[in-house]
Amino acid sequence: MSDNQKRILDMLAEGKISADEAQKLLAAIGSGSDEAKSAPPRSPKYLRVVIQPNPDAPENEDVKRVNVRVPVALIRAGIKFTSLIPADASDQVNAALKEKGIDFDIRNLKPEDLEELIMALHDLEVDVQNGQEKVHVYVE
Amino acid sequence: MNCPPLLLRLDISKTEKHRHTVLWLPIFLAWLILAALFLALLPLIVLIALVALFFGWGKTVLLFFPLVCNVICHLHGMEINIEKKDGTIFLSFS
Repeated sequence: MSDNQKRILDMLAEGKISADEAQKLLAAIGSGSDEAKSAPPRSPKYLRVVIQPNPDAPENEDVKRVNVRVPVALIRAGIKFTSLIPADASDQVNAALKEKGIDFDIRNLKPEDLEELIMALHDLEVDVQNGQEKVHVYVE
Repeated sequence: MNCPPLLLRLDISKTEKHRHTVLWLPIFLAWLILAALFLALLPLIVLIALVALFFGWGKTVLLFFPLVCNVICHLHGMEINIEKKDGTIFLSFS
């Protein structure tokens, strides 16, 4: 039950409003929340990357706290650079990635894929914790 | 097309000396200088692109500058905050 619904019921219990008025108010709130549910998800504007010292790790004077806010539009603009990579260079990049154990064809990186990834991040947060640091990635 | 960021806020604070410096850098001046430089070098860039065309790099040379402009124009809202034990650096494009 939402706060608004509780408040209406309290007002009804206190006799401040009639049962009819309470019903109308509850219906109005219900339709409002239905509209909110049916509205398409808002496109995220920023990608936030936060690096914090791991609270479980022993204290280290060298540990930094980094907080970066990257506009999603900037990532979209950056991804277009992949179209500039000539075929020879793409092969070299793919080979280098494979050497590192990443089996990925850089020519398959398309703006639509990125869009899908960003929309997926809307419902997802990435948390990586290693010895000294904790990395948190999310969109806002 | 978006407008490129006009100002860069640079915020530096030192923990030891309790010093806090805030600088608003007019980066629109850098864009003006770069645009003038680009226009001056345009004939040379076209020439390089024509030569590069034979080696398969023509498209890369020609599209590189518009794409760089596109990236610069989307820098609005970018923020970087680095906090260390001895101080903090904050950068913001606006």
